[in-house]
Amino acid sequence: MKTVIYNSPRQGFWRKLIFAILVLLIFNQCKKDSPEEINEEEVINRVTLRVTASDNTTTNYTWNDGEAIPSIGLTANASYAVSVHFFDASDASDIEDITEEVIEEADEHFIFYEIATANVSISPASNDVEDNDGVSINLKTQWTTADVSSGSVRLYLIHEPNNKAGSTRGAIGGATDVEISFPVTVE
Amino acid sequence: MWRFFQVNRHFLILLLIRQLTFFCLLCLAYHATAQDCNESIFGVVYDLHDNIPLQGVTITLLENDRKVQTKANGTFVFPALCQQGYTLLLEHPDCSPITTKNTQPSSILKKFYLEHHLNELEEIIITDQGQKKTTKTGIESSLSKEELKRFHSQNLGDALAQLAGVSSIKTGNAIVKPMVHGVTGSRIAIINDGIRLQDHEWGADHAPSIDINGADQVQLIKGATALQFGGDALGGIIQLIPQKYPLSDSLLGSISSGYVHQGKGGYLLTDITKTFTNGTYFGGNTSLKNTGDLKNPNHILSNTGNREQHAKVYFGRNTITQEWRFNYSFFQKEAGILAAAHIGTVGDLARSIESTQPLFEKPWTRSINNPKQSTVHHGLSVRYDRRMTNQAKWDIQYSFQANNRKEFDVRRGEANNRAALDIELLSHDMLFNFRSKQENSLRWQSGLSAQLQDNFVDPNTGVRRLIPDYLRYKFGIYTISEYAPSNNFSAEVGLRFDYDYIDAQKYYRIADWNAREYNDDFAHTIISTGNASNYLTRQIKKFGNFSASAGIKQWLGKQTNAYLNLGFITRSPNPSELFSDGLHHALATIEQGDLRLSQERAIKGVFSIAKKNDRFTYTLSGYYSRVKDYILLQPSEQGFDQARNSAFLMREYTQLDQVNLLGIDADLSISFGKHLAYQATAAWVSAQSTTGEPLIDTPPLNISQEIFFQMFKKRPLSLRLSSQYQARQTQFPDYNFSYTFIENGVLTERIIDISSPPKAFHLMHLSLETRIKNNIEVRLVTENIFDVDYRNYLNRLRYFAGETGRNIRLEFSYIF
Repeated sequence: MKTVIYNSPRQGFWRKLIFAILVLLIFNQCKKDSPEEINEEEVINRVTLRVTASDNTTTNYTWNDGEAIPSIGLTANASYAVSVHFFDASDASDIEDITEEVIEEADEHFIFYEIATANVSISPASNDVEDNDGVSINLKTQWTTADVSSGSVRLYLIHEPNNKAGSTRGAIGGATDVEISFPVTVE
Repeated sequence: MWRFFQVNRHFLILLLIRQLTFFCLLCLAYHATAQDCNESIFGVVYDLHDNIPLQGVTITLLENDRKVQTKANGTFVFPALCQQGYTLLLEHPDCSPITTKNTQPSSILKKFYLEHHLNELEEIIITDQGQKKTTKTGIESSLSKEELKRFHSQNLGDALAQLAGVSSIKTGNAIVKPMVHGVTGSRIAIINDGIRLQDHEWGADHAPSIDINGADQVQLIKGATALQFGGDALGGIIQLIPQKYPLSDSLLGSISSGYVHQGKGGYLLTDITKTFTNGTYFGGNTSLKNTGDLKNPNHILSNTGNREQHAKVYFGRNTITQEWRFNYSFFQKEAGILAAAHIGTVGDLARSIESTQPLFEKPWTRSINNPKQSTVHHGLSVRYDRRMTNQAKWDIQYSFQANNRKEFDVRRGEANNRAALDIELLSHDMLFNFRSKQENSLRWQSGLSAQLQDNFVDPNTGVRRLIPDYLRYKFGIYTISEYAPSNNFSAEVGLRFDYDYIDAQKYYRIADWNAREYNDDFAHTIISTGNASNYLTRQIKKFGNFSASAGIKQWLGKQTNAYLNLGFITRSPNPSELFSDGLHHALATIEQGDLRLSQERAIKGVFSIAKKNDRFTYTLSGYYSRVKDYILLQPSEQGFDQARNSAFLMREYTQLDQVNLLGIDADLSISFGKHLAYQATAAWVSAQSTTGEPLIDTPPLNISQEIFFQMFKKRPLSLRLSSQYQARQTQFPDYNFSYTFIENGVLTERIIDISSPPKAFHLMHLSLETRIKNNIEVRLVTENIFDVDYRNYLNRLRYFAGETGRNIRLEFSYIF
């Protein structure tokens, strides 16, 4: 076996090397560019319900993220055509309509309504968007009111539902992109 | 003119007399001319390791075959030489001979070093591996390469959980983070090949990018000792130590291949090292792992597939007196995130918690879909160690780490193929350590460290940055002294100071900025206004962190030692605590950092008693720590507001005035000869704020036991039956919230219990191991034999699905 002889370390060399590395590290990266502002996408922060009465008068109920949810006023024993629209309103100068993407990917989307205490029944409209299996996805619906009452209508936009035929939110599965409860009064 | 080495005093006197003689000779030589051939070579030969002069070394002048022997003081002289280069051969019965080249006669005393105990040293290098200690008075435990073999298909967190006092905090099954003494993340340090792993500054969902198959030994140092690795590790230090190779000509290696029943997957591991007698070695190892969806006894855990690729190459040269080593490692992992955990809103979370079945289940598949996490780690390090003659050693190390983490969420359209989070962290580290043994009883060690980090977040994700772009500089200096006057007592004191400088540039939503009243304190940090809804700000944070530790070890007799360690720790908030701003999809939670956070200061005391002999070994340790300004993620005051349609829970990093952690760890092993052994570990910890509120994610009581039995003499078959019990955590904070369901046309408000821990569980595992021929090992491991369906409190995805059921693994290893 071979053994080494001890030589005094070339300290000068190491000192220079360490110094060089440190200098390189610190001065090379000291400056950092300002980060680019991120254009947030696919955020749904505005939902509009377009409610058209039988006399063709249309009322828009719009909720913006962070604001109070508007209350929907309906007349008893009437019928309404309701369409729902989703927007990304992060940039006020460039509001994006996400509804189009929902229509494009109708297979992977479903809108589900739950009604609490208000005498309203909701069914898909005849001109509703259908997915490839012919299932209406509830973008356009027919709302029929009965007696005077008040309550709420909760709207869910569901992404990748397991079962569109489910009768409860839990049975439908998938992830909720939008969940919003509109107070409703039937007068 | 004469340069003396500090040797024992009487030698020094002898040497002095000798030198005077040389001096006279020199005077004579000075008067003579070179042609007269009146020059001399004066030399002294030392033992390299203890620096004692060597007597009886035969020195041969090869040019004219003259021989002399060294005297008792190690000196020799060749008089009457010409002014030319000579070749000397130094020989000693106990040493390997050495030959010098071109030795010029001169008036200066030449020093030569012979490797005296070479064989002995090699033995130390090889046999010492299992018990290599890092601290003198700290409580350490470790997993050897042999023990790590049982975790070939698993990750570091799973393996470490075998040690008393370590638990794993998980996000699903593939993301496993070790927890020591009830804390995790930045409060523990993971050291791989001497370098601290940097990527857990990214929060709880990031597992260390380490493949355990690359390590020879995994060591755990509990408590706040070992300041050489950092002054902020309240829990402890986990160190992965590479193998030391013998100075011999050999080829070492192994190939292992296994089939894993869970996930219908497999793995292939290779490991090869070539060593040479001159100390040169090179080698590498690779791991490939591939599994599909895992299964719970009652359902498929959809989208829990996992792919891992790891490779490491190293080369270096170890010549006892010096060693250099180059190391490069690559780690890539793609892990599916349980599909059932991909939820959109608090309502989904509420429904998941109320359901006993996962809300999303698909037929079994090997493929990984969104959501998934993909991480890549490159690590490069160069290290040089030098053993000086006067009982001193130093080493210098440079390392570069690049960590990248991408997260893919379920998104609409093309964005589905684009990462929703893409962070890259580059770290440069420079370390210098110096160790010295002054006298036999006193040692000290000091060092310097410098670090530069550059964190960059890709803006093309279309999602707000979870962590902003930043630069971070850290400088550290430490010193540790050890005093061991006898084998019965040793003491250790350490001090460390770190300077931490963070320079971040971050966009704040103006609404958030105002809600947190940042204008009061941070108005000057605003650089500009972005697209009307954001402020671009520059946040500079400076922290000076002081840490200290002290420890003693006292021999109590009967193979028993008592240890007492006290530590004072200062930890500055990390970037994720200061700046986090993003959505945690699986928990429908928005996590936000706080610019106002200050340092955490802790004292920790660990008292242990350890007994060790061939048959009976135990360690019992108790610890207490008191942390001032403890940083944790808590529900924010705004909370969850269904009336305003908040889809997410809000969590903020906040500081608790004081947190007390109290715990006990114990391990015990009894050996009944070579063929039968029993071992057990247990750990319990309590973590509470002074207001009496328990901390979230505190490991519950756990007890593990194992019986080892070996049968058949000729071809031994080892059987290992283990039991793992985890109690139900009874101390937990109340983070529940209320949610209004619509059921049968009626609004029903219910409390959603996200706080209550799941039930206790008890699992049994069995492993069989044998050898076919001499070099093929076969391992059959069954985990969770009884297919128990359980949920684990320390799994952040426990709301959505149960843990994996029975797993059978068959592995063949070929060793050469």
